[in-house]
Amino acid sequence: MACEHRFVFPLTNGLHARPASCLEAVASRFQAKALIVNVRNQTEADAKSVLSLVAADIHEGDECVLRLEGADAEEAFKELTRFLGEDFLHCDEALPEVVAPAVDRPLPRALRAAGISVYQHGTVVCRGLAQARVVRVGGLSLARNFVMPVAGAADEELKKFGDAVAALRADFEREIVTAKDNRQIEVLKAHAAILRDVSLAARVEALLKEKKRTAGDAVIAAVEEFAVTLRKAGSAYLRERVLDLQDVSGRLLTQLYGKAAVTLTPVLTAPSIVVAESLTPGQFLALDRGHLRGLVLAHAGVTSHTVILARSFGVPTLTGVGKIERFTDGQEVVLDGHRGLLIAELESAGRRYYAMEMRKLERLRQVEAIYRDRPGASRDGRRLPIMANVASASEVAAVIEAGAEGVGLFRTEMLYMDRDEAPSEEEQYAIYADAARAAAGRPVIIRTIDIGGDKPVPYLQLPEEANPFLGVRGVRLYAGFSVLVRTQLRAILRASRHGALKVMVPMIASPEEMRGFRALVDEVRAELRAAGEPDGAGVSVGMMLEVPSAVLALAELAAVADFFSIGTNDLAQYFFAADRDNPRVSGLQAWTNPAFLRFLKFAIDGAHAAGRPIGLCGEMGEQADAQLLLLGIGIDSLSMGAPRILAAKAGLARCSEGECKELADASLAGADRAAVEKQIREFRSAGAAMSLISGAVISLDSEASSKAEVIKELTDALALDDRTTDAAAVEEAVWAREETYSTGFGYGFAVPHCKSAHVTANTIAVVRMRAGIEWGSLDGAQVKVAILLAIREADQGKEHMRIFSRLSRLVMNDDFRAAIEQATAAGEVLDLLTEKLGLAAQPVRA
Amino acid sequence: MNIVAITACPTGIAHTYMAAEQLEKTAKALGHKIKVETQGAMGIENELSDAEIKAADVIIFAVDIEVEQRERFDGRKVTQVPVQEAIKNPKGVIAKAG
Repeated sequence: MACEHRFVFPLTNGLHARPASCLEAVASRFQAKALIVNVRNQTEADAKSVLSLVAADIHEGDECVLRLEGADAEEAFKELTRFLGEDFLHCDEALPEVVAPAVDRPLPRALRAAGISVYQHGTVVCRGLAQARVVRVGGLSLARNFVMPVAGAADEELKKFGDAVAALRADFEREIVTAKDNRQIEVLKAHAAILRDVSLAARVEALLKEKKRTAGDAVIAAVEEFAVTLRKAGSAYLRERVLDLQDVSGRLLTQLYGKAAVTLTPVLTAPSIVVAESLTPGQFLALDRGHLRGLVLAHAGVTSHTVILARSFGVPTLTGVGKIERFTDGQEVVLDGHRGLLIAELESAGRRYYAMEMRKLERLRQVEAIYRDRPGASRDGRRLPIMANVASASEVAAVIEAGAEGVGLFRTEMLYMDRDEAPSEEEQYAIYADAARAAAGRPVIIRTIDIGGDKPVPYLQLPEEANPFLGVRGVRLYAGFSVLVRTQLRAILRASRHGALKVMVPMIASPEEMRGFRALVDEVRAELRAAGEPDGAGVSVGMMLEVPSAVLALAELAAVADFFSIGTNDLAQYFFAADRDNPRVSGLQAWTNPAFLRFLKFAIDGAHAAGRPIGLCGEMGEQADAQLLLLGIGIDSLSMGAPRILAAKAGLARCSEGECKELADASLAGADRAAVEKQIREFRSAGAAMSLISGAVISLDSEASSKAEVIKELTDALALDDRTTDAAAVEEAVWAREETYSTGFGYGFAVPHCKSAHVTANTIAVVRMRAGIEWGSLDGAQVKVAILLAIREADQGKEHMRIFSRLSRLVMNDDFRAAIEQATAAGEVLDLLTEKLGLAAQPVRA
Repeated sequence: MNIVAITACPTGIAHTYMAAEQLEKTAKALGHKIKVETQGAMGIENELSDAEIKAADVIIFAVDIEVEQRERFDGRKVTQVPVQEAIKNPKGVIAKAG
């Protein structure tokens, strides 16, 4: 008995694992042999094998034939044709959008000009620039130190394989029942189908019979064979299935040889940019940071813990990057963590462009380095200590080296995660003592365990909660885990003799909770004293301010808390009732909302009225504009990711306390976000008075070989001379102007110019090139000198505009151009401009 | 010849003044009398009075944008060119207008 059914493949995303596993489930109910033939590529697939179906590379619109043969073929035919026409159409419903990657944004003009074609956009969560080879995570690799046991006889190994499959199948079934998320259930079902797959099992069996080898080796070899087929398939969906296959085989190997056999984290052996769908904090910490240059994640909220870690280590990171399968293992890429781009296949112009970018960043680092040993303070001496957030003791020495004046937040959760039991008192003692010693007398604020919600720790067996961010987390957990908390407190108090440790407790919502915690600390101290141990009497005990109710109970809390630290990430999400990891509402929690600023001011005033210091350790403190506002509303210290520290100190040193207070007053009075953001823009553009030109923005020996490079060199010079907050944005504005028509006006000269909110000081910059550059000039001639006029957006003063107009007239003068062409040193050009523009005679003020 | 002109470019930063300079320089070299009003980032400068406009033999607009107070020139013949034209070939522009 044989029947045939012809159909056109109906699903948009083609036949990938999810629909394939649905089809396989139906086909497997019958005895009949079921084949699907893809007419387009003449591939035949076993409908009872997901792998085989997926490997047929069936796309939407492909003509297909279902062929059935065997005893119950007629019955199977009836059921399968019905299925294909009905249920099958719904088995690949669109997945909920996690983060909408902004794929449609055009490339910045400067990069288009530099010739870049293969790229993806992402959200920048840690700025920086990296160039290295891609390492894809999600694949399977055996742990480095794992030794495969000696192979037994074929039937012994076959039995091991069969047992492992059976055990894993039971695990999948259990997980499918307990999983809550539909997407997770679908993935588990797809994985279970791969496990059931007859092709996979048959191949493993054949390999075991072919020669003596272990079940594990056979699984690895079989999976690799299928992976080769899938990788060759044109579609990205099939390539992604390789990861599914590897996940399943990873779990099989774990069944066979235990957890230690498999590592989900690759071993980095050279400078690498890790590209992954997502990454657990444990996987991230396991990466060798000596080789880790950048991180690219398809899915991760800006404040997810992996991202927080990446930021604290200063690893340039993008999230929400779509189509990551475009970037393959071993491929050289650039991660531009300023523009939010991941770029592959760079041509020479692009390479030169990024080499310039690297040089600029290196020089900026050198400029900022002078702040390393200077305390954080405003221009007029208002102190604002800048400290670092860390998640492990090993970071402390590095953050001090990076300019931190102490550790404002030591997150201890990571010590508890990705392990089978809580760390012992001695283990923790060693960690906190290391941190204290590395800080060499500077304060180290250790936050006690903040688990719950998003940080599941299996051995604590925390019950599932419908709304973990509003559930039992932070201090709320302590009543049920008093041994755990006491152990941690003992370790901190004992270790305090090695340095200036402080204790900070998270998630306090009421004075009762803080009194309870304080009493617990006192009990532990008494215990230590009784045992003849040092009791850490000098250790101050403070609390996080991250629950709005606590802000309104500051006077009572101050009676039992020695200090406060505002955790803006959680405070904002509770204040605005907006989930920080839900991209559809996370935009609501902007710190520029005046309501939030007023709330912060209220908290700071309350702490001060009670005579308690108050700092801030959330993401907000990393923003340059927020730093000035916070100083203006009276914050006592800031703690942030180490890479932001020098920039924060440099930014503060440029402002006075009075200016910051004025900015804060105006912002607090603002009607809405837009009003606050306008205040900030105006403040920035009324910024530091600088002369229009300096030797630092004149270069007479440029090697630039294209218009893109010249414009970049000019705008980079602005950045290096502290005349812009965002060189890339100024670059973009210059290009926008070039697009109306070329600023090459002839005679080998060009006057690129722009007005931009990112220009902080009006500037005339000059670059003279060794070789002529094509500029699309009026007279068609190549350009040898480019003079940039960069103007602040909100510039109201006419004084500078008058000088710019004078310069525009001057460049029409043959003698003036000749003088610039023949100048032998930057100083000559500086003198010439100063004289001709009358700069010396009338000192320029903003 | 008595010339009046207006120059104006989109940003009003550079080309407005470059064109004004070119027209002034060239007109003078050719022995003409000229006054150029600039409409740039600083607003209207060197403004042309009604009397000056009335007395002019030739009116040139070297502009890429709308001229402000255009009504001053109602009923007069105006030679309009792009700003770039006045920078590249001021002689030609004056000849065209004259």
